Amino acid sequence: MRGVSLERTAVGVGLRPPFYGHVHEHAPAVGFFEVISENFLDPRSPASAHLARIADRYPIVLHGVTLNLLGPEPLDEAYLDQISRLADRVRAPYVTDHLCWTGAHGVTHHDLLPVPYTEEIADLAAERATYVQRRLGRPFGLENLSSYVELADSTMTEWEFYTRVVQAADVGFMLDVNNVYVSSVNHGFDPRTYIDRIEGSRVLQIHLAGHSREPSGLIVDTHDAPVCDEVWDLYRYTWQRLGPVPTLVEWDAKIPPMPQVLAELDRAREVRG
Amino acid sequence: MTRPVPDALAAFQQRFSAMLRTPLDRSTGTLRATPARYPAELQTCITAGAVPVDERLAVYNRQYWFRFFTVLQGVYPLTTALVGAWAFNGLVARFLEANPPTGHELGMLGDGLAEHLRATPPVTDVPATALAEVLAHDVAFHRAWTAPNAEPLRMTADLAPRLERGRFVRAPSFSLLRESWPWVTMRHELPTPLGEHRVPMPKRHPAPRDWLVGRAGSTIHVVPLEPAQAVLLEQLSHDPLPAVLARLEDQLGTDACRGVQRWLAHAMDLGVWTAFEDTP
Repeated sequence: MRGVSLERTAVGVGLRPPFYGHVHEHAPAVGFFEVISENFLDPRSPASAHLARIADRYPIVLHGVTLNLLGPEPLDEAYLDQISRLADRVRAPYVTDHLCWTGAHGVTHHDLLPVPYTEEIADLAAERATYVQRRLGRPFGLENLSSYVELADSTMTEWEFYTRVVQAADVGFMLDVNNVYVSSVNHGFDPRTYIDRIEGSRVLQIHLAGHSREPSGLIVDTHDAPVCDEVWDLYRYTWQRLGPVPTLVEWDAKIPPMPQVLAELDRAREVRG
Repeated sequence: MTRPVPDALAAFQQRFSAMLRTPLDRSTGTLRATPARYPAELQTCITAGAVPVDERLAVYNRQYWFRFFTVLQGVYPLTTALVGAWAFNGLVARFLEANPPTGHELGMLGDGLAEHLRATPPVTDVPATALAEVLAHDVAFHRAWTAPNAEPLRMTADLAPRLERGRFVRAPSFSLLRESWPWVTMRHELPTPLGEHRVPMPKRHPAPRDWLVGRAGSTIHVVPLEPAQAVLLEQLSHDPLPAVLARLEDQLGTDACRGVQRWLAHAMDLGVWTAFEDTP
């Protein structure tokens, strides 16, 4: 089933339950909504009823958090069926998830976890991502992680690994600019070098979010604060470097009222000029 | 079907998983990561930088547990308020150590927590009956918000003759609740955000009270029940209507059962039932 189209200049919001009422009542000027796929797998749930109403008025894109692309077990076929049906229900133009593992040996960790950046693992990730895209029958994108460790077995940089996977799989980048910034601080690289290596035509969407700083100096991707100035600067650079890309602001904790999030969308439009 | 991950990656994932699930230490009165308990082999997998490896791994370890504590405090707000966030997090940790998450939906993480705590009661100064009641209230309200939508049962011409030989099936969002303390009132008065502090035990009711909680459309209904109404709603899930009405009159007397038929119609209008099952 074909999805609805999305403008390359669209700005969107991560749809969270506190926003349902505002969206139903005020129909705010939002280019699209992104939903956490796992929260809408049951089509009979109240959340799915809200989503159905919103999908009648806005483009919806799906963003998963438990695909477990690089988990030790084979991909969960029943889960892929559910995602595929959900994508059909909301006519999603594309589906995204993360370049990581999220569980192992039957246990779901509900976190986005790192792997060593090697050619062997990149090739495996590409093979699985190709499979997922074919299985879902629509464009599939992979998001870069925020990370707090670098693994000794890595033989390439994160951006080399990410680019290799996306290109080999012929899928899209779900480029999280905040995550690039977070990892650049945590691991001491220039985030613009990372952005420079991303192939603009393959970027399906950009994520912007807030983060928090630990006493150790590490930055943690908490999605509980406004987008900071450094990330807005990197977003401006990304936009200039890659061209128009649908952009999303996401909150997952200490979620503010919808008008405050809408003000961040205005800031996104303003920053990119 | 895709090929498995390399053995070295699977081994790394096993160690990383063990690190994530390492319980946070509670001995100092704050929840602290204890890197000394992480698998030793994991240390050699991480490149040292300006921030020590232990501190980097501890971010993942703390994030793992605090994510679950936050989610479950949201599902069990009354229980959290009554035992306090500190004690509640301890109960959650104990539950998740024994029952690690396996599903895709974070919102279902707490499925089984109430049963787990009933089976292995925690050491707390909250009376066991009170703890059991607040757990049941939290589960019922969570279900009211999240249970799948179901078509309400309507009284039709073909249903009437079947009432003598079947039972009503309650809609998944509806629950019957009994409270010996004013939990429903307490829930309405909980602070937002919940905070760390315990809410004092309220004064016990002179006699238990019954409630019906559920969702009709997008509206949550919290309905106080008379004793006869509570018995009726409970027993209709098991026995045919005439038998339930007769038993009700025996138990409560004719006066107490006045208006039961009208209440039955009201419950049907609310969407309390979703089906009627004939019994052999």
